[in-house]
Amino acid sequence: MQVPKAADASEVTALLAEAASMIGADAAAFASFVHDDEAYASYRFILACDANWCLAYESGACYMHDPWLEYARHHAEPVLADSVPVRTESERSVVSLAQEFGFASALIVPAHSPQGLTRLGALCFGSAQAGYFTTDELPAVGYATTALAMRLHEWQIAQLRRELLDHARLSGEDMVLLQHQRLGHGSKQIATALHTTAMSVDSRWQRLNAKLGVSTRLAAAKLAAEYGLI
Amino acid sequence: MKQNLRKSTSSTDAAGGIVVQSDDGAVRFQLRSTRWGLWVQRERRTAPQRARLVQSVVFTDPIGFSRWCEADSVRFDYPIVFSTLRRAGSALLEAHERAASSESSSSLR
Repeated sequence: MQVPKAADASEVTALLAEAASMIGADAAAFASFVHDDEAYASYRFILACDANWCLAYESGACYMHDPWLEYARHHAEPVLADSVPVRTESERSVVSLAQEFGFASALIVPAHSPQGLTRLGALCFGSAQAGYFTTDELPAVGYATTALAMRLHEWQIAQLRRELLDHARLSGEDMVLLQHQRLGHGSKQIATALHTTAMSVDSRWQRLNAKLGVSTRLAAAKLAAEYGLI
Repeated sequence: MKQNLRKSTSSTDAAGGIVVQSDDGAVRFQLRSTRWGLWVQRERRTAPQRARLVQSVVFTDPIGFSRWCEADSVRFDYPIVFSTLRRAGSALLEAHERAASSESSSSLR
């Protein structure tokens, strides 16, 4: 199943619903996480399930104790939700909430980003019927759904990239600066490469940091990397 | 009686959808009629946990949309935003249902 890069959010939501239907799931959700900036972390959900679940999830700050999201953070293999360790009462509440809203049996499919980045994606298919997803079909279903999870993740990153570019109005010069920082270059090295002075580079950094809403060039480069700009 | 009268703004986005947001930027809704139904994107910043939650969902019927609206705490925290969301969303869903019904009638002829 393809996720066209130019698809808008409503099309992708419809695609997710179609994918759920194809594997006989009652519900599906794609969750992604990225550090917005130094202050905020973003949790984004594309829902093909009872949307009231997500309201309750937010209300209970479940993203702080979600064992399924935590699994996706550290693993790349699809897994049955029943196999994910649930260690605390808070984590149990998060799982119970999901079970109430159509995820009595669930399949968790992580979508990973390049090493060194905190952003992650997790596709979750659910059935209101306990035990619906089984270990026997996990290899085949896991294989098929991993590709979809990666495509959804790529689409989501492309959306974030577009958002950041629209919001910050970054120039070509800004992108060059960010690339240099990602390579670990200091002001003097950047100045030499750009045929300018270190003071000019520092001034450009101040303006760029203000555009991105961060306090340091390190944070600026990290944000740009998380959003897939560099 | 103390009332929460936090203001809201309404506008349109680049794709011609409706944007309803609070003046403090803490909550924002985008609504658009699509061929599948009413698409809504809800964004809320929660200060204590320093998290931003964005949810994207398509509603195919007014009952589902109404039920979702009733369950949202925005109803109490930002009543003007909530009221605008409800009104705009219901109108878009009604228009979608009329269009779907009209298309269905045409195809039967």
